[in-house]
Amino acid sequence: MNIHKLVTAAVFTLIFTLLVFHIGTYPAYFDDFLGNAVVQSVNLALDGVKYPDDVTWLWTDMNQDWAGKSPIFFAVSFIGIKFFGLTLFGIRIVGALLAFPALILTYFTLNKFRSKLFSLLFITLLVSSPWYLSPTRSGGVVGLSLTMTLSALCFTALLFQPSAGARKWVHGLLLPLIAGVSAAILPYGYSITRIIPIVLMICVWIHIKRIGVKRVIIYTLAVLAVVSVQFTDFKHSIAIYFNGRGETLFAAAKAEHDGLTPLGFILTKLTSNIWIVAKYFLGLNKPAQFFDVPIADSYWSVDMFYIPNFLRRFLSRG
Amino acid sequence: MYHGFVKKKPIRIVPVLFLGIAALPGLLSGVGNPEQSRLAIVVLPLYYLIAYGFYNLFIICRSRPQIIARSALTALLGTAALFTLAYQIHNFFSYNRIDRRENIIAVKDYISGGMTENADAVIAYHEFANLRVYSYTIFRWLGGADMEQNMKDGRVILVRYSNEDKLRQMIKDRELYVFITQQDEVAIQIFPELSGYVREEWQHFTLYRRE
Repeated sequence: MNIHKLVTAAVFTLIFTLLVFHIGTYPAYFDDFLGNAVVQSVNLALDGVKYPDDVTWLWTDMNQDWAGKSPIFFAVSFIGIKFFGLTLFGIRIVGALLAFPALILTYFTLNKFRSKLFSLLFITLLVSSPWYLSPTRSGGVVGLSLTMTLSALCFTALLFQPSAGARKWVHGLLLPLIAGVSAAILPYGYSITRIIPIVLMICVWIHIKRIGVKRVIIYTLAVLAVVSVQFTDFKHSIAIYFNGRGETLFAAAKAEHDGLTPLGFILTKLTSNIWIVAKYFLGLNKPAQFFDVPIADSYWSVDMFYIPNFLRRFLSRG
Repeated sequence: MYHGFVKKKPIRIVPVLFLGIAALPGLLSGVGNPEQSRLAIVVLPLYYLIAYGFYNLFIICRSRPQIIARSALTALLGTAALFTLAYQIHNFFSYNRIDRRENIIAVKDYISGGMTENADAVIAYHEFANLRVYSYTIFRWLGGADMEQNMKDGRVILVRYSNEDKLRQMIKDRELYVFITQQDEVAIQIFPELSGYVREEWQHFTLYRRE
């Protein structure tokens, strides 16, 4: 075994350990919203009850409380609870285990575009990050969405690679099929992922020459096959897709806001959001947070930054 | 970005573009602010760029002509990468986390106490306004196997749409020993029959006790 293989094996051992270490005990309570999100799985796994509107393949407002309506999140949490009971381990383990192959896929995909050193560096820094570990180990929909997004990005990125010895049916049929399905199921993750399948679809169509007409058609058909579930109530599905529980800028603008016109509200709020996000990226946070990233209890925090401040120098460099 | 434009390699701009796309859900927040969960996907392009920053510096260090400078700088950078790794892991596994579910813990403790005091007691627990959307998950997890057994034996009843009528009848027939609710106003609306019980306000819940 050469040194590179040894280092890779060590990195993946570390990654697996980080994903599952003390997963049933740390933190020793349900993460925010998770109790509400696994209701449907608990109903079925413990009581054998499935209510008619518990889970749906139609697009819904997919937030952290209502994640159990997503068939994919439901399946993940149900399997855990069914096999390991209503325990923190049972709720978290399947999501964490799913993250592992997604990270292997990420490494494999990045290797096609970048050097092995960079690929290892990326997944190691990402997986050791509290910002990644917190949601991924929690068993919630945010972590599962990260895994789903990584997979969809990787499969779509692999479409851009020449076949390089891969079997013809894998390269020409299976890969576009999996890539299409992995992108199309993203709306069953957390609402914030809903922009990504659209971007991926556009990206694939823009590069139709490079990817190949046949493969792009297979990719599109795979997406359409998954989306066809929505045709039963397409109008509603489209209306709900970017609804974001009515909390988006445009939905919120329809309400009254202390004398502000809808346009005035949009501009004011957008400016404030841009400022918050800009501060976030520029590292204008409090000095106390330099060594103390407040990741654990910070789901609603504004002005908080979830990467160690010193890493921002490397971010700028990147 | 610079190389992407100057060397006409648009693929190099993809991570920056993806960073912008991933930040959109946060930027377009109308109610609430761009916070951690809305910016969750940002972690992917952000760490990609951070890793690229490390990698880029590594390449620069490796291209130094003098062996000593090259080795020293590479070792320094490697140490920085290892330090970052160790720091992040330590941060995640050492941060002081607080469970804020004191309401549910209080109910669970009360019910467990009630069961030991009065073995025949039938206790109903109402957690939220909507009787089905929230399904007492954390309460059941806290109660463990004992609570599940009490539920199977019918000694602890969780208020749901499916048992609403049965519970109403039980309250009328005074079969219920205690009715606990986290949302008193809603509970009394759904079960006006509770007015025949003695109301007690506890710190974390309201309780209706059979006289």
